[in-house]
Amino acid sequence: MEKDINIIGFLCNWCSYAGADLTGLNRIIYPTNIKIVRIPCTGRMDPVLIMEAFHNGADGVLVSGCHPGDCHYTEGNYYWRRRHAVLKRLLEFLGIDERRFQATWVSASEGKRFAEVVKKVVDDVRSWKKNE
Amino acid sequence: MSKTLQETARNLLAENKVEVIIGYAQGYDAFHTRPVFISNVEDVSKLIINEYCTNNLSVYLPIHKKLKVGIVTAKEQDLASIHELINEHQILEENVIIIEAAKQISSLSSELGEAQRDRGIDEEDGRQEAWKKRGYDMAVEEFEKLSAKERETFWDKEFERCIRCYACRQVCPVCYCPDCFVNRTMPKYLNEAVDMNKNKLFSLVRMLHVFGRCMDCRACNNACPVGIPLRLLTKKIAKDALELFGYVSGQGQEHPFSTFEKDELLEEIR
Repeated sequence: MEKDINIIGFLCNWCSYAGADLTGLNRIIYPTNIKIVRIPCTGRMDPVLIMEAFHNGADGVLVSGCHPGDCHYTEGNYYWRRRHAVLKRLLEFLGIDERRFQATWVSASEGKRFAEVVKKVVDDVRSWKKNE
Repeated sequence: MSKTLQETARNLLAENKVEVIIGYAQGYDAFHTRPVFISNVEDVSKLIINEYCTNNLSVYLPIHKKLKVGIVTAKEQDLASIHELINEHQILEENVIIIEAAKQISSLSSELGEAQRDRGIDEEDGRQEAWKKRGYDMAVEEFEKLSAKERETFWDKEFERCIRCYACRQVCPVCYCPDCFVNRTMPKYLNEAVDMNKNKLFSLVRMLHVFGRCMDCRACNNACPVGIPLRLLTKKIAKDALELFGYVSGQGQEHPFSTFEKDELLEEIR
């Protein structure tokens, strides 16, 4: 059997991680390709961790946090939004396909949305892997 | 050119305005210069200034921050680096006297010419072709038009040679952290093993750390012993800073990462 894709998900403790929890509580089925790492806030997201994930063989990385304005620490995700824009462009410049590095906002009540997000990321990364 | 510089340096030292002068001295041949630290009036004759003064001397300022320093700047970017260090409170403005030699040097017109001068490559030398072939003169826009696969292959080939000597970090004026992330042991991001991916990781993260603070002085590009075109990356981050945040480094604007706007639309986040 072909090796399946691996995606590392960095989820913020207050929204997206709780959202992922809710997905499980609601018994919503979503791809198991994602391995979740809990981070305190997307504002804390260290680019080194993202690069480490890619270099240790992850096919995709998803970073998810609270919607703008909902950050537990008031403004962490605003800083992340800026750093994400720079990091994404730099990764693309170095030749990492844009489909492999994604960011979303998922709140604690959006269990269903989290499942959809993961499905979309998995589809995107699969389509990248196919053409690779 | 060098005579006026020496005269200025002599006066500064004689009048006790500075304790040490950081400048350029003749290197091992006519095409190379080396940094020199002068605290005796007799030694000022060592100072020279010419088109081969490519090092960015402001890298020595943070470690001499307790002294009164006179510093020779050979490029506009060196000057900008000093102001950046002052803005970041690494050095005291009153402790630094800038001896501006930038305007005395006739600049070569093209970017390629500059890059070649930086590396002491002659125009007649056959290496110019090799230079072009390897894409070193490529503009960022041009490089972005390549496919992701082509870009990856390009950087793989370049970073394969990297020996992670960290020379690029050592010569960088804004890389003054005494505890760089690569030297940390908790967590240990990088070790001494040969690993091309880690080479890439180091350079990418360094670029993020100098984002918006890099003055594009080309010191890292010149210092690289294996000739990785780091200039391409520094040009890229400068372009991103301008496109995304309208930010130009060294202009006294607030750093894009230390502020935000609530309704801005950068890269799309679903």
